[in-house]
Amino acid sequence: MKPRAGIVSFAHLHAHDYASALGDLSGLAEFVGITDDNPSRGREAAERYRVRFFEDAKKLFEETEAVIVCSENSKHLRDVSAALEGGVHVLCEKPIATTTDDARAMIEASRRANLQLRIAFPVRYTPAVRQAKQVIESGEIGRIIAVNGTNHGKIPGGWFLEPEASGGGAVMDHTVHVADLLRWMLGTEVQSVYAEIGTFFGDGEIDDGAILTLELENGTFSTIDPSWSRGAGYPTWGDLTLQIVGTRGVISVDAFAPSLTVFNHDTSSTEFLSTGEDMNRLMLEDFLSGVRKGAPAGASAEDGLRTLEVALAAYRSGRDHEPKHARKNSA
Amino acid sequence: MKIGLVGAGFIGCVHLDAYTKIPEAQVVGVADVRFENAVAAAETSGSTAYRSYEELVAGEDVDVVDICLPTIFHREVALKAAREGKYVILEKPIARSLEDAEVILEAFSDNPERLFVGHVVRFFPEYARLKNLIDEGALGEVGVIRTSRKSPFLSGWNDWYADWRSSGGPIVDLLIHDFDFLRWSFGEVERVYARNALGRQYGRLDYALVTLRFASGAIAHVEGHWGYPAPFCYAVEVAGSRALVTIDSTRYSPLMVLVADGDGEDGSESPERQVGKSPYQSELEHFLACARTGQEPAVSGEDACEALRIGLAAAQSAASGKPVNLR
Repeated sequence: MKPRAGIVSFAHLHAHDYASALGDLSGLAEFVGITDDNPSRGREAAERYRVRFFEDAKKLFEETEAVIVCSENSKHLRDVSAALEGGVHVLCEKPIATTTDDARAMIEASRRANLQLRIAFPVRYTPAVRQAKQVIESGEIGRIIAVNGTNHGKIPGGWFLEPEASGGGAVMDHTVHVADLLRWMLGTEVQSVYAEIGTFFGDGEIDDGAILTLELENGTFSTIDPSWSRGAGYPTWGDLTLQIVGTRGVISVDAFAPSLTVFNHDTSSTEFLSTGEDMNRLMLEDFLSGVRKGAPAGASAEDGLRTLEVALAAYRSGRDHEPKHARKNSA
Repeated sequence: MKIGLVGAGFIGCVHLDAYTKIPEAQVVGVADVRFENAVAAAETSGSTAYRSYEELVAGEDVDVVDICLPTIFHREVALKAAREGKYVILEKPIARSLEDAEVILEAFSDNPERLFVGHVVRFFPEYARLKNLIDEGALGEVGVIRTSRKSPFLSGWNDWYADWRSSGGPIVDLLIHDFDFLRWSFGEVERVYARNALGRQYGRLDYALVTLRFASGAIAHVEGHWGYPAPFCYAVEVAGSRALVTIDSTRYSPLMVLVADGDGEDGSESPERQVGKSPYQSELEHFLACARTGQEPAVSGEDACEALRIGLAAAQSAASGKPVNLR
C-alpha cells in the first residue's frame, strides 16, 4: 500500500523542498495535505502544492500514515508528540529539538506509540557523501586521522534569529549536519567539543560564526565550521565540505560542488548551480519505504539527540573556553 | 651585495635560484655540511663551495649571510654572523624555541635592521593584495577566516622535518606562514586551540587543525598537512560583513604546460612553475634593498618572534588538549 503523507508546518523553508519531492514521489506516496499553526502560511503552501489544508492537525493525522514536521525547532516536541499521538510515523526536521529534555521526551513518545521517529539528515543521501563512506569503509585511505568539515550558509531571517524559537544561531543550525555525517561515516561517537563562537555578519545578536573542534571516541579529531558567513552576493546558498585525512590518503568531499556557473548579464550577478540526484527525494524515498515495510530507515531520533548534544556542548565550551563532554552527565 | 648562503637544502636552492635573477645580488659562497650539495649549488651560482659558515666567512668577503639551515641551528649561526657585523637573512621559523628567538633578537638589538626573517607569504601577490583589501576596509568587520596549507612530506638533512624536536612539525614549521600572515592582517591573538595527529598516527605524516581567537573577536581556522598526497597547495577564505574573499592556489593557473611522456609534476613546497616574478625573489630583493638603504623591512624580528609564539602555543595546545591564552 502506498503510504499517505502530510507536512506539519512550513515554518522551516525545507518544507518546500520536501513538498516538491513528495510531488515527484507520487508513485511511492500520496501527498495528502498540510497543517500549520500559521493558517495563512499553510493555506498558501497547500494551494501551491495542490493539496488540502487541514485547520485541525488531528484530521490530517487521521488521513495519513506519515508526516514531516517542519515547525520551529522549539515546537518540535509539541508537534511530533501530537503526530505520534495521532498515530502517524514522523520524519522531523533537524535539529531534533532545542534541549535534550525535549529530544528524550520525543524518543519516549515514539517508543510508547510504537511509531517511527526519524530525523531529516538529507546530506547522508548526497552521492559524494555516500561514496566517501564506502571509500572509508574499504580502508583505501587507511585509518582516519582527522576531518575538516564545513557547513556554510547565508544568514536566515525570521525565527532562526530568535533563540527561544531556534535554540541558537549558526552553531545550532549547521553543526548537526556535519556531526551526523561524522558519526555515520566513521561509526563512532563524539567525545568532547571545543568551540570559539561569535556574532559577526548580521544585525542580530545570535551566533553566526564559529569553529568547533571535536574529539571522537575512535581517536579521530575533527573541526566543524557552521558559520553563516556567506553574504547576499555569494553565488550559491552555502556548502557542505569534508576533508577526510587518513594514514594513506585524503578524501575531499564538496557535496554541492557547482557543476555550472551562470553569469547573468541582467542582474550582473554570478550563480553556482549544482546538479545530480536530489538528496531530499532520496531521503523521503528511504523514509517512506521504511514506513511501508515497517523497517525504520535513515537517521534515528537517537542520531538526532547525539548531534544536538554536540551543538549544546559547543555553546557551553564557547562560554567557558574549555573542551566540554558531548554528554553533559558523563564524567 | 656579496651573499654567503649557509645551507644548500630545499629552501637554500630556492633562494639561490632567486638570487640569479637579482642583478645586485652576488652569491660568493655556499656552505653545507653535505659538501657535495655545496659543490653543486656553488656550481650553479658560479661561487665557491665550503663546508661550514666559519670556512665561508674566512674565505670570502660577505655582506649578507643567508641562513637556510634546519631551524635548531639558526641560533648558533645567527649569533656568529651578528657578532661579525653581517646582515642576516634567516629562514622562517626564526628559531625552534622562544628562548632562542629572544637571544637572536638580543644579538641584533643594536642593529635590528640587519636581521630579516623569511616570512615569504607576505610577498605572495595574492596575499599582499588580500592584506590591502582588509586594510582598505573592503571586507567590513572580519568574522571567520579559514586558511589551508598542504605539502608533501619534505626530505631534509638527517630527515630533520620528521623529528618533532628539530622542526616542530607542520604546526611550527609550515603554519608559521599563516600565523604570521594572520597576525599581520588581524592583529594579536588572544587564545589558541589545536589538535594534530601526533601521538595518534605518525611517521612521515602530520595533520593539524588550529583555531585562533583574535583580540578583535575574529576567529581563524588554520589547516596544515605534511604528507599531503598531491602537489603543494594553499588556500585562504576571509569572511567579513561586507565581503567574502577567497584564494585557492589549485584554482589559479594562468599558465599550464603539458608535455607528453614527461614525468608527472612532483609535489614540492613551492609551485613548480612560477608565472612572473617569484615571491622568493620579491622577498630577497626587498631584504637586500633594506640592507642597502637602511629602510625598515616589512617583517621585523619581533614579528617573527610573535609568529613563533603562536606556533608554539598551538603545539602546546595540541599536546595538552587545552586552549592556550596568549594575552
